[in-house]
Amino acid sequence: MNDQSLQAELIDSVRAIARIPSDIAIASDSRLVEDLGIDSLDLVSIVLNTQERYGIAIDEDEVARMHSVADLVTYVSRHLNAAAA
Amino acid sequence: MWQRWMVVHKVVLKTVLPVLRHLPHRASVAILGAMGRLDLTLVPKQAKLYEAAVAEAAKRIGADWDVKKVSHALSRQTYRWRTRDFLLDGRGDAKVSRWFKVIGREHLDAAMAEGRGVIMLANHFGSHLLSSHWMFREGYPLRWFSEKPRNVSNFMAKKFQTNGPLGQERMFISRRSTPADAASAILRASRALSAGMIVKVACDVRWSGAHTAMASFLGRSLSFTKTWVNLAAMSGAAIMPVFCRLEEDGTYVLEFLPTYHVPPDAPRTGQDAWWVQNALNAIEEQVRLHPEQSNDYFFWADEIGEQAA
Repeated sequence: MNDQSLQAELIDSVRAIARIPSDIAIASDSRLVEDLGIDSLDLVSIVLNTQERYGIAIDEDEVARMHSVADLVTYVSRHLNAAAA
Repeated sequence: MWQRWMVVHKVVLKTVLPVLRHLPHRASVAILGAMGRLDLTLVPKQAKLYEAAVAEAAKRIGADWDVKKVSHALSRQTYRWRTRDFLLDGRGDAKVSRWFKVIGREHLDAAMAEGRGVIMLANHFGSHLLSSHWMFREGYPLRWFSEKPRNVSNFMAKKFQTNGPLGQERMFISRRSTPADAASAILRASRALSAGMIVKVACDVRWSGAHTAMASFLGRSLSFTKTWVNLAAMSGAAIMPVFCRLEEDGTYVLEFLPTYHVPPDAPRTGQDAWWVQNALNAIEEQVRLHPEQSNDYFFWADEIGEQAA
């Protein structure tokens, strides 16, 4: 899976979990908390959903450092690539 | 006014605690009781404060208490309650164990045997810190999902100094946490539960902002955290309410109530407020039965999260 498809999937998943209306654009540089208004429990759901969907473990400390959609995509991509290598 | 007395109590305790720790436990508890009662005798204003607080609580929950009698009993608990678990510092496990009367331990052990972790649903009733103290002494794998307590015994403070992925240090939360930090803490608590540990969460914490529910408690409508409901739904861990009160003879009566589970869809289907209320009802029942153990609640400041009842 390339990074663009991964990003599209993750954006869909963020939108669904955080119930973000379709008229609000989510871009790579959208900040999860400040721009999308995602709260702690939605963030937890996003992490758990991502872990289950891609079969990766997300470190709790990393969650605190995931500020934007791009951070999430980069993290997942890196771990998927590492698993594939 | 009560805040001023809290400062006085603190100064008095700081002076007498080092001495009390060297006395037999029952004698220390008796002295602390006498100190609280003496305050009421010497300071009529304080007696009026207690009676007003008890009368107000009785009115709010419709309890038929003898206000004077409950006020006196409550005053005997004041210093004891403020002493938290300091009296047990430096005492051996076997000795401390004798001062506890444990009811319902089978509920705790059965919940542990389920292997999905246990959420110890705590509160601020009675000698609430002593439940954790006992569990640490008994070797249970306990973590707190709460703000870091400021005043605990050296024994407990040492137990909190655990690091690593499931360590206590990184499981403490703060009202000033960012959503990302809070999410990390929730995930850590969830991981601790998955590892079969016990996670202590207080269900009577007044909170504001996201993940709160309005609930009625002691006749007031207040905003409480409901994060524990989400944690329970997410983890499938058993919920085990616990209460601890200090009897006049120095015995800590520690009671584990039967466990229950929160359905996984509770947060999504809007049932979380019901679970919050259910947990608070259990505390209110204890307050009704043992009003003298309610020092924390009867003098709650009103500034956090209260709405017109």
